Amino acid sequence: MSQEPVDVLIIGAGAAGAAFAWSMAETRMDILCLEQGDWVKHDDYPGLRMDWEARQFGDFAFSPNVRCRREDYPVNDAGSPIQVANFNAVGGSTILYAAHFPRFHPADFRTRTLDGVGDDWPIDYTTLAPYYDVNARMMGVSGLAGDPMYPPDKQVPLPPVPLGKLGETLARGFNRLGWHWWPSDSAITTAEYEGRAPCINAGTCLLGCPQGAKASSDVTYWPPAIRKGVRVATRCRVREITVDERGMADGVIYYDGDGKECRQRAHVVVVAGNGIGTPRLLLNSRSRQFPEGLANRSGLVGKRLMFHPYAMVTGIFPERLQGYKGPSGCSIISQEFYETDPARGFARGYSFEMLRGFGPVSTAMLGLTAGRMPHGEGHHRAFDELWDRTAGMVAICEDLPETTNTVTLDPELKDADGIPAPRITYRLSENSRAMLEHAVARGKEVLAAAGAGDFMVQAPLPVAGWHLMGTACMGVDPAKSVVNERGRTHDVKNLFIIDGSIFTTAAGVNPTNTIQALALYIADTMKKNLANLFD
Amino acid sequence: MTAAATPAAGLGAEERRALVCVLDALIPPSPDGRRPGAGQAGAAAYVENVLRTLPDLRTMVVEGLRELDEQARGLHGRAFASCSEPERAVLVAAQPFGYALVPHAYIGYYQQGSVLEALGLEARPPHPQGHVMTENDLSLLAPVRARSKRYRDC
Ligand SMILES: Cc1cc2nc3c(=O)[nH]c(=O)nc-3n(C[C@H](O)[C@H](O)[C@H](O)COP(=O)(O)OP(=O)(O)OC[C@H]3O[C@@H](n4cnc5c(N)ncnc54)[C@H](O)[C@@H]3O)c2cc1C
Ligand code: SF4
Repeated sequence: MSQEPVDVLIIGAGAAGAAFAWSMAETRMDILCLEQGDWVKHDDYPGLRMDWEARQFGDFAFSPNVRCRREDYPVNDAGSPIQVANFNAVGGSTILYAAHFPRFHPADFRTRTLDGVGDDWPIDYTTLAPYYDVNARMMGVSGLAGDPMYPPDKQVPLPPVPLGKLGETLARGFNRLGWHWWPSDSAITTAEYEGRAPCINAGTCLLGCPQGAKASSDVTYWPPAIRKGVRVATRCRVREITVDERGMADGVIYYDGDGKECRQRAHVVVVAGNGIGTPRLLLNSRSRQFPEGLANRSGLVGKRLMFHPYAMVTGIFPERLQGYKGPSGCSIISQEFYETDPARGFARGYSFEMLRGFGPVSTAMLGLTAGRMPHGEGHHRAFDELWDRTAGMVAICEDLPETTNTVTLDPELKDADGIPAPRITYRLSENSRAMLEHAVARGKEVLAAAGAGDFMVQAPLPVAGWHLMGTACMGVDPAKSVVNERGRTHDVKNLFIIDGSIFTTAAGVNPTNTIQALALYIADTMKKNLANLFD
Repeated sequence: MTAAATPAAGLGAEERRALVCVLDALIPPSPDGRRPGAGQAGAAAYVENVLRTLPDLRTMVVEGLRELDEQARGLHGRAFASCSEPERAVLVAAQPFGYALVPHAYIGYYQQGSVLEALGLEARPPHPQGHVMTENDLSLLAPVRARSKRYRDC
């Protein structure tokens, strides 16, 4: 890499890094993104092979500790009931994500004022609304206008994904109880869109989409950003961000694909490593000025870690549901229990997101985990009881920020380049436990109303640490937050953070639409303030 | 949490034959004869690949196969692979390594084309053909649309 400083150096080519790079590209500045992973080639996607489902237990597993690819860093999550899930590549975790793409509600930005918990964001829904719109166009979001749970101006460019027999069966259950449901906003093209092919309902979304219909950021934001001159250097793992004697970030030290130590200087550094990768990098960037980690004078880098605790409730139905067809995690959403109701015994709330059924391998493994899938005699009968007869939902519970839930550096575990691995210390709050319990009971109720005769429950769902938030939170007070309302760190005037780390609170919906809207908003405020960016 | 270990060697011909029989005991053919056993269906190739990457499991399985053979010879006077299906089922049920193989047997079995066909699916990967789905019946939304705004202003 050149010894010349670049104007803007982005670390991480995932959801946030890509959206930010695309927006900044119009400035024609010299922009470079360093990404520890590589491009995922079309032919590498499991969905094109017979062993596709097996790959979720190997090189396409959710957990980096199972995948063990060179670009993965291990995560010590033994101290958490929820394990971290991610993917390290151009596209980041959107390579594996389900593309369920809801927005936050207006009230999600005001939890302290409205409900006395968490903290208010220094920005609000109306600040982000125009960026949600841009993101919907850029990602190619499908859905349906008119959802009474959202302000009426929410629009998406494509019609909703097919509900299928499974989705409609569940929708009838919701209707029987008079509960809210709506076709999901999904970052999946349901028709040809901007050169992308439509979804073919193959159901391999969680192992990547060889069709390019699922909006991973390698197929949405990166191609136009690169056409406008942004450069992405892959297999480059940043070890630390360095500072000059004035305490300004002046570049990074990274390892290239051959493990060689390299230096890249920069005028502005933007971190987009996600809610685990970002605090890990900041904590590993120690200097005389920042002995506790970069931009960590508040002591809050790595603190306030929020997942969304998930409850998974699966119903077993008497009839076949054709659930193996259609996008895996997108069909309908219910926000009946989203907004706070003090009578429920917990603050805030959750969304139900309906899941499709499972392929044959996943059905057998689900049954095995639930103790319902014997080997030997009786195996086929047990399999038939589950095969294509399961439909379920996950409840995405809002996690409250607590300083005791943390990402720190593990004293022993290291990645392939010798960089300390992150260690997770996390426990479920009483609020989360009460919410999970409520969600399990309501989940069973609605599945029964839809016709399910039996249930399987996992709460919290251990594999579901895929929403990584809060570990470098946004706020106005430098003593109580890491970045200001424009994503700039309070302590270092040319260091910005743009991923889920900066979430002040977590809301009860999947975060990526909001992560990208924030990245677009931060890019826009930077563009508007280029002359006085460091004031 | 460690990097993948160096791949171990494959199985010998005798071990492979015994493994196929063990897999058939873990997932036998369906009573109606429409679904093959896991060994018959070809799950051994997948399982053998797994054993290459998990040396501890491989050692356990190889030792277990040897013990099975000894027990079969002691009890029935012939090699494990030459025993009858019920005899093999009893022998495998008593072997702890069988349990360790179960998840791999399931994963190996349910990706076989013959098994997918027996389940009423096509023997192909999901891409690039995908699946056809019916049009949405959005009239189901009528009761939801009838309700008023549900989010809080602030
Ligand atoms: C299985 C799964 C299902 C999901 N489903 C959904 C869903 O339905 N809806 C939803 O909204 N969200 C979902 N998510 C979460 C979603 O993928 C993330 O919210 C989103 O990708 C986060 O964007 P990001 O840019 O912050 O981080 P990422 O997309 O994770 O990107 C971070 C990038 O930074 C790179 N990086 C980190 N550290 C370094 C370093 N030191 N040097 C160089 N590069 C570095 C990483 O390699 C990675 O590519 C899911 C995630 C998973 C794993
Ligand atoms: S269901 Fe659609 S979005 Fe999901 S992997 Fe298949 S084509 Fe892609």
